[in-house]
Amino acid sequence: MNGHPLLKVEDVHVHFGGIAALAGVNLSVPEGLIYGLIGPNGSGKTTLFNVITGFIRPDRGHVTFAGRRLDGLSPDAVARAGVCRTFQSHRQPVTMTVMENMLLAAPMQSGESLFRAATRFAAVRGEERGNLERAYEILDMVMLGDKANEYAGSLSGGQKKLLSLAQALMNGPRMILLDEPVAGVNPRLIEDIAAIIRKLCHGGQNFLVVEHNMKVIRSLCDQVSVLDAGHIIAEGEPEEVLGRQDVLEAYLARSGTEARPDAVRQE
Amino acid sequence: MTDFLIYLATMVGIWGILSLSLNLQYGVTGLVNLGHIVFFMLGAYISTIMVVLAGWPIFLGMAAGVVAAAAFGALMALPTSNLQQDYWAISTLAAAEIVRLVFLNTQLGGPYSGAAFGMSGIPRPLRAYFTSGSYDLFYMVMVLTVLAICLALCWWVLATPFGRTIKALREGDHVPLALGKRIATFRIRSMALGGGIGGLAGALFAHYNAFISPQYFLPLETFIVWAMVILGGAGNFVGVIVGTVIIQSIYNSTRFLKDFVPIDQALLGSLRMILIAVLIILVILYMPKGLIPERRRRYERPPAAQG
Repeated sequence: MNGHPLLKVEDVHVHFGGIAALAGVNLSVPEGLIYGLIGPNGSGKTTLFNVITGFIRPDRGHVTFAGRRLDGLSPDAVARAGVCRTFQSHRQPVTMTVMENMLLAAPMQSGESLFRAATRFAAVRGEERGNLERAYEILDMVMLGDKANEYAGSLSGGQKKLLSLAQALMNGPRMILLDEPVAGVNPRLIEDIAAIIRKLCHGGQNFLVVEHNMKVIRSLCDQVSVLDAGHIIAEGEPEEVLGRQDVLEAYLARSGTEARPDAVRQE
Repeated sequence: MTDFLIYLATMVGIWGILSLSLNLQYGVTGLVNLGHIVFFMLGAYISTIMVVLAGWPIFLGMAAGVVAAAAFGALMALPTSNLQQDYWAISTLAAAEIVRLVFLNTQLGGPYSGAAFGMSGIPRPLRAYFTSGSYDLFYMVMVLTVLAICLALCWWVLATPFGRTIKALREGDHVPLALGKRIATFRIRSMALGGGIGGLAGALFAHYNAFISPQYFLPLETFIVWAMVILGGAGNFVGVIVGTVIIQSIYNSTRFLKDFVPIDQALLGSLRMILIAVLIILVILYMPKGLIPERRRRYERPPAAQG
């Protein structure tokens, strides 16, 4: 739990036109945790995800991962540096099967070069077989093993969330960023997804999670940070942070369409 | 009648190769290339220039046409790989027209050659070994063999991890990027590969027709190739060849029908374009995935992963 932070965000600013989406965000995520990032709608959680993963360049500030600067890298370079993210909405190629999606996610495939695919036929084939076995193992773990040859487009919302988690695992990053892993998922599947994430964390996988479901945040996260209007207003253990008055007010003050004050209070 | 069928089969072969290459770019990679005819044009012109003006052997000239078209494909993708799809589509249309206008305004090999006069006297490969009657048959067999080889190549490409990645690009950049793929290089390579195959079709056309002119490479020709891909089934390589057979049969029907139907040939020529248009509308309305939709690739569970 202690030691150097694995992921460090320092003084990150992002402006969209005249609006400050992130106004000096600092975040320090230690190794070995499920770290939660919460906050009301529009507080900048997804923007922060986009900054960490290279989809948005910060106007100011640094992102460091395992001692390496990430800001300024392209999204694919961030992924290759060991940070893999999922998306809030479903973006997986729906005209590809679940298994094709999984094999796509395998890192450093030599068959992505046609020259090597042609000249090192046996090696590429062996690599494919290894990836296929690993993909089936991961799919079995997320309960999608029997959906391997279905189109990703035919999966339910919850199953698509599981597929993006499985793809991230297949990519084998040191840290996975989950953007709302249980939003819109039926309650029974939510518990399964939370259990899978917990199990993976015990196995040494690092997670940074954005989620609105406070029950899941409480049960899942070791630590949380609360983002409000582009600032981190609180951080610490979930029980303590969610009991704080200013956190409660942040949620109450901007009760939009998806306000969650009840979820915050609920015990 | 036999002559007509041999001619038709040769055209199907040449345009089939061209539609395979568009399918690789659009059907698989999702690149809306509205200037696809540029590869056909470059294959035809570069091969002709190398053979007629530089005196290269015919097959070497064809290879040069393929390389030139592939290089142009990569070049088209280089500065534009970050554009949104609609802007990208317009830039491809412009690129093709620029190349055509260059050929339209460039004299090649004498005062009455090149430019709007076109280029004539393009030699036909291995012509000396055949009688004039059997040569067309030979060329048909050669073209259809090349088509089969290109089909096998496309299938192989699709089955590689490279093929899987370009297929993922068709539905957006976000997921491939988040998984660490260098998407620009995949687009460039897909354009080069499709460009090279398109160039091969152009070279085969030039040395069959023995004459080429900028008039052959108008934007309309790109849309004929699109019609073949949409009709047959984008993403399915056999489908686009079926689409080619149908479109080419309609397109060349005037030659054949003029002996049977008492309609003015110019009118018949316009009617066939209307027929193609109606077919496309019907397919888009009722079979949006084309006559032969894309096939699903199955991955059976390996014995080591029995769950």
